Amino acid sequence: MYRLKTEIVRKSIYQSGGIFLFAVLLSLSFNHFRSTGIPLVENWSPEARLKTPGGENLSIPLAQAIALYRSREAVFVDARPSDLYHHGHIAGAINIPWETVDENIGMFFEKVPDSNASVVIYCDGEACSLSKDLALLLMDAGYTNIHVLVNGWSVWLDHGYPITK
Amino acid sequence: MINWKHYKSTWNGSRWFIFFRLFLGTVFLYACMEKILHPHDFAQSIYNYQILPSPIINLAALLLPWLELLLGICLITNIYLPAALLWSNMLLWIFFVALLYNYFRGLNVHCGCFSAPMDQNEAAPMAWYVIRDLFFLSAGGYLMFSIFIQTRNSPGKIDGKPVDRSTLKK
Repeated sequence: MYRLKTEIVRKSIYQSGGIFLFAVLLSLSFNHFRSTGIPLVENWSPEARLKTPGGENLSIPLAQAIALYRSREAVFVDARPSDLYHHGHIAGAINIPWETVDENIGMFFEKVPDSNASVVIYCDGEACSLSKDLALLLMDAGYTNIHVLVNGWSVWLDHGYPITK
Repeated sequence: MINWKHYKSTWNGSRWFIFFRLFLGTVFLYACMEKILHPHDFAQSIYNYQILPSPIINLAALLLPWLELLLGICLITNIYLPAALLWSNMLLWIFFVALLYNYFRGLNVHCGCFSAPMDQNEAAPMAWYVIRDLFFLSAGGYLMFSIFIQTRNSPGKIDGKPVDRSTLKK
């Protein structure tokens, strides 16, 4: 009783190609002529994304982060939501969840009044954007020594460094 | 050689068909607006899904919204409908699988961060996304079935034979 209409299927495949080519043409030309166009190919690696608008690299290697941690030279900040922080975090890190940053940022200013203090911010996952967002906010607020530990929670855990649960 | 006019008459009849066609077209038009206006934000969203390799993220962010715009227009105006439905269903399935994939590996697609265990605050919107996408998929599936599959009672047919509309009583 049911039959595939092969003529329509054939026709639709030709038409699909037409729609696709038209979309390619429209998108590329619109992007080319608009003032806010984006590059066709962009480097989305964590290192490239963690550049400030001024070209400064925010990312800190793990070896350097653990050295700062052991010498107690840096404040560690967890930018993840508070329930994840309570589930487990780097021992001694303070929690400034990016989601509710307006309410929590005051606590950071109280605990870290020195704008030259080393601060290492982390969240979880290579693509996680919370640390960078928080880093840029703190830099805007005048802090000069801000670093981001990419995929911080996972790499910290993998290396068996001190944590609190 | 196919009789295009005859085929078009077989899917223009049902009210449900027209309703879902317009509905899906509106969904695509609505979905593409923000993405066309802010391509870099959309590229960030694609990146957060952590599925596509870095070199094609921006290309996808540029192409997808325009494809959605064309599909929306085709669905609403009934032009190139079979192809528009083929594309729509393909895109809806890709979005749905990507959503489920990230749900099960515990990736929060809003920030690209792993947030396992999934807490209740995130499970609720996630359930809503899945239900919403299932509804879109059903609408797309129904439209596609109506166009690509010949049944005895396809719209515009009586007893499996095409109706000569000029002979119908008004």
